[in-house]
Amino acid sequence: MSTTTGRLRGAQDAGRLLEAVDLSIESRIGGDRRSIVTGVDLSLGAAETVGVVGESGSGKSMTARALVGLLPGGLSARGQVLLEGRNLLDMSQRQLGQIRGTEIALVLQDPFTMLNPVTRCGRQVTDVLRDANGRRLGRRARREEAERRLAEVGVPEAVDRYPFELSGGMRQRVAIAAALAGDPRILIADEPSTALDVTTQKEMLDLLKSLQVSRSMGLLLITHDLRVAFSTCDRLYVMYAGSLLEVGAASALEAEPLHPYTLGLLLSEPPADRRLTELVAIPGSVPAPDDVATICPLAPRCQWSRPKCEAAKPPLMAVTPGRLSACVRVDEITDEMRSLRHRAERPAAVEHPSEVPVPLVTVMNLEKRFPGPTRRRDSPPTVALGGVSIDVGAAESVGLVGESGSGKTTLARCLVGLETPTAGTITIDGVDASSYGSLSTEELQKLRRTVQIVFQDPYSSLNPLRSVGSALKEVLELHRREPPSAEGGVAELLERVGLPASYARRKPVALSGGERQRVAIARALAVRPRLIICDEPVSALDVSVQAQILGLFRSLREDLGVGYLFITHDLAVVRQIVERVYVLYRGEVVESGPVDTVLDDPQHDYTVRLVESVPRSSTR
Amino acid sequence: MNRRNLVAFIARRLLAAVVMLMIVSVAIFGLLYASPGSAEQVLLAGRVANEETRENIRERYNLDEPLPTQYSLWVKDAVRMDFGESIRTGEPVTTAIKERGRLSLRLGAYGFVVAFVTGIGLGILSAVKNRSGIDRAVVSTSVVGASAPPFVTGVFLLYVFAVLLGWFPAFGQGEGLVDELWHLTLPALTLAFGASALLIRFTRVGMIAALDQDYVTFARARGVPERRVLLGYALRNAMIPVVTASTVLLAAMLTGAVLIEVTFALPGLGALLVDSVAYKDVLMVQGLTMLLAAVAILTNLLTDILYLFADPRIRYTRVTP
Amino acid sequence: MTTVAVPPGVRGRARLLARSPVTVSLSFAFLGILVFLALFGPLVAPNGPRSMDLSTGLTTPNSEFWFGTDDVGRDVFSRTIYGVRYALFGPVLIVVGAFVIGNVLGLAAGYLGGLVDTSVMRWVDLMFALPGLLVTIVLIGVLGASYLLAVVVLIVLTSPFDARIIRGATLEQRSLPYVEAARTIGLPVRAILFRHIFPNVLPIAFANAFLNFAFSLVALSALSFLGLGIGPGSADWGRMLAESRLLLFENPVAALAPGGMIVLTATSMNLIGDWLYDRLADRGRAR
Repeated sequence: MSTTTGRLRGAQDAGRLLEAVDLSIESRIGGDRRSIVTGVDLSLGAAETVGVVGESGSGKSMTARALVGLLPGGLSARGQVLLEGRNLLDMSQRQLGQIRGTEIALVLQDPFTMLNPVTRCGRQVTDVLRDANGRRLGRRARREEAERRLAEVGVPEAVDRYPFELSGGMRQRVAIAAALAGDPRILIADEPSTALDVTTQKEMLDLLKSLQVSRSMGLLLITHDLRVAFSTCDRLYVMYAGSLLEVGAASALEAEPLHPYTLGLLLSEPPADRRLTELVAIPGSVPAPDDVATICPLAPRCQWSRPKCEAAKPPLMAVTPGRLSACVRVDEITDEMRSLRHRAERPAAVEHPSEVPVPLVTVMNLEKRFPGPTRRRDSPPTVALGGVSIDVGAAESVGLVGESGSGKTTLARCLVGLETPTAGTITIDGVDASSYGSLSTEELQKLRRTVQIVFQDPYSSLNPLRSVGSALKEVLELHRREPPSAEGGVAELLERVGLPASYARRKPVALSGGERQRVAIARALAVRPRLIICDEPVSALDVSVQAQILGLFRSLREDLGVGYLFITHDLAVVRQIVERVYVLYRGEVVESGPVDTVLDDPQHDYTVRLVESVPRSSTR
Repeated sequence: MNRRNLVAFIARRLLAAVVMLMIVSVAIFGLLYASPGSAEQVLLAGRVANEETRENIRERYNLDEPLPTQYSLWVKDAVRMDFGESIRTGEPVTTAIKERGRLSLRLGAYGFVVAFVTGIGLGILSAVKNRSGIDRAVVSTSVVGASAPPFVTGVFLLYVFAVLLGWFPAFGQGEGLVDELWHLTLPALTLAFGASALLIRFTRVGMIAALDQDYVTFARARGVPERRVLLGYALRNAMIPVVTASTVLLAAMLTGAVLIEVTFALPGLGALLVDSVAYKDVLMVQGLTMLLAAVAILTNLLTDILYLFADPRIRYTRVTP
Repeated sequence: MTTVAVPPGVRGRARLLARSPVTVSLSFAFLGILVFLALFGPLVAPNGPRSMDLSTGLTTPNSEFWFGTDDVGRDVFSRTIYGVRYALFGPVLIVVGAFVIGNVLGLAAGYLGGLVDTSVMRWVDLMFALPGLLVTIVLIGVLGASYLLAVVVLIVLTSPFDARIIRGATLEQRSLPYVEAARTIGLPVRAILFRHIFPNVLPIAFANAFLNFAFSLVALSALSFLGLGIGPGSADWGRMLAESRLLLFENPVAALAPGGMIVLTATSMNLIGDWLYDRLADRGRAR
């Protein structure tokens, strides 16, 4: 529901190219009616970059789809979407088909599924082009156009290639070229960089910005990453559980958020330039819009919530010109928010142990080759690891940073016996673990109790048919650790990871992503390991939940003295958890050392690139 | 994959096909010995014969030679299209096959064309109009079509169209091209009913899956004309699983043809097979099964090659199904 | 996507069945009737399956013989009912046999990989390429017609389908983190297969069993139709169809009744199998 004050959308009033007024999206599948988005007002001017920020369940992707009239079946939109006065929601699919591509275009999230797998890239780009008479272009004209447009995005060589021959970043560029083929005035990019590596991410965002400038387009960026939003956008809309919570200029929002949620998001995303003493997390998880339809959506999770926050749904109000907030207490709590931020952003020193710890795990010159893609003799094997040497001391927390293709996951898998290295040695607590298949039962037993692993995807880390309790019990019984009663052991494990003991009866499907990951951590803890390998354990989680899990890792280390080999691509995350770090690139360690030294003063070219790719704030 | 590799690939597949055929031929050759009774008794089909006739049989079919030699002689004859004379009728096996093959071929082609057009057409239609009344009707009919054995469908069609309405003749093959086509219509429709049900299923599932994909949404989101989206994006990708399914389709059609010929009393290869099997006419069975194996293996080869063209991804990567 | 934890018990089989389409419910009902008839058929049928009355001869449906009689005076209605037993017995044997073989091979191929996998898949590919029924016809013809032989051959011909599906499902489960976690915990292979992988694969195998049933019924009745399965005069639907085919002009019901029963039974099984497949393929899957 928007009020007249809500119509102050800030920034330029002139050149309001695209406007959403009171947009609501609802899903009607099988008789169930659910709200997805309620009462959103948006505007975008020509040559403006606007960002819509939110976690999963915020409704931001569906909003993007609604703007071009491509909601999936079962979903319908109400309200207005005005493109220079014409309401797109009133138009038929045929009319919309003429507008899409020529006036407004949408680029989706996943470059690996966005392109037609059986058609060459050049052809896909020119599929929308028509000549002056409305007919398809001839072969030569088509080729010229394809080459020109692909050159514009930096991949002219893709013209004759199939999508599967290209990397993720290149595919994304082709997709952007295809979306811009019709020369639209508005481009909507839905999480354009999420599926890509950090270094590619930065290139993609730079590309989008430069295209926006060169074509004077309006750019609407959908993202869950506040840092990306701050570094790229002029104005921001913050969405949560289907409603807008805050609107304003990006720099202003970053300097001083005017809604607890924005502040919470800001603080949940760890900074890459320092280690924080405390990782502030928003407790709980994102609710469904219908559950919070009559109250402030954040109230159940907000530390400043008062009865009046649950009296009615707060409207977006102008706090200062150009800045809107849906928090009824905003004037009362600004001071408290500020001091929370100060406290949370105080850097903490990284403690390094005074003596070099005894190595628990030593990896020497580890190599892993996979057979080449085809069976032909001239197809070379893929080298996942080309001679990697690392070590992790007892009770040490060491990071392994790399992007896809760096070999970090392969290394982790070799350490726990899921892969066998082709050369090199692994020594774990004195046992030669280079080839799990040739170990004796006692040695295997010992290794299993020394090193465990937590995987990235919480959704498939647990057997969907068995209860949480039985999964944990299985491990306890296998390793017959104290306490003698398995039930007691299960309850204790659950409490340790911050879950109530009653969860033992639940099946994974009844748990949220963060909760499932906690169970996975509990399972790893059940054998009382000395080292836990964490393979991107928070990448698949929402930002607010991420901070919770990182906090859990930290407290477990303090309480139990367990060490970590923390694998991630995210420099900011790694900084919060580890003392030492190795940087992996294309199967080799290119740099290593204490985490602050490596991140503040990188030496190797790749590390420099990695550090510079982390999105910076809008105030450089 | 450049031209040279493509040729190499086809050559390899061809070689594999020939090897497969050879292996099957050993089994087919062995049928004579698998039957109860000695080879001689089988060839005589229980008829009483004097010493001279038996001598002739032994010589004609090399029964006194050691087995491997017998096999190689048999293969040599087979390559020359000589499978001996039918135990039942006495006529040369290959002649019988040639004569009756014409009818079966016509039946098959007729049925295939109808099945292909209706199958793919209805499959696309019901996918595009997913969940509508048309879709439900098409799906229901196709489930029945896939479940009903051809001889049942045939009898039902016979009842309705030949007995009740009298539009088509009930049995026999007719004379002259038009008359033959008229006689073949009910059998062809029966064949098509089952085959198009399979095609509808595969096409529909493939199309629905394709229409759900990101590349279709993205194509629409950037203004690709709807017709190109349906044909060039959705259908083109949906055809890939249909191509892989064509081996199943062929197997179903071959089986169907046999049953249909018996049901409609058409003197084709299928009826010949059944009659020969019932009579234990092993030589005729050998000839027919060799033909069957050759057709099956060849179609498999063609499907593999077609698949190569349909999906560019497998040209470049090792196939891991 | 984060969701608020849902209390257990909301999902469950009841909800599954409550949302089944009309056709599936009807199919289950029909299956129930068939089972009833198989067990209590003789009590329902007015006449025995082979009792002939040559004096009555061929008649159309009337008050005494609801489906009429065939040319040797046998009651078509009773024979149709007795036919249920043949229709269920053989296919069930085949389905169970194929289930066991297919599951064992599929699990082994999917989990162990390597040589085991390659050999199993080669065999599966070969069987897929063969028109199974025709091979059966040839084998039976050559070795001698016998119901048992037909069943055995069909078990061998149907198990590749099961094996392929189970293998696919096993491969899918095997690379999931929870299986890898079980490996890193140190669970023995036996436990991993039976406690973790198989229960997640079972629903698909179960759904497939219904589809196999339909296929086996069709195959067996085709063999009887051709005179290669059951002996002459038995109340098997395929056999009845073959014997009454020429009576279409006089008493069509003698042929249409058994034919109709074959179609109805096969269709119901296919509907149930498809529906189970759709439902179970997503159930319990993470997400």
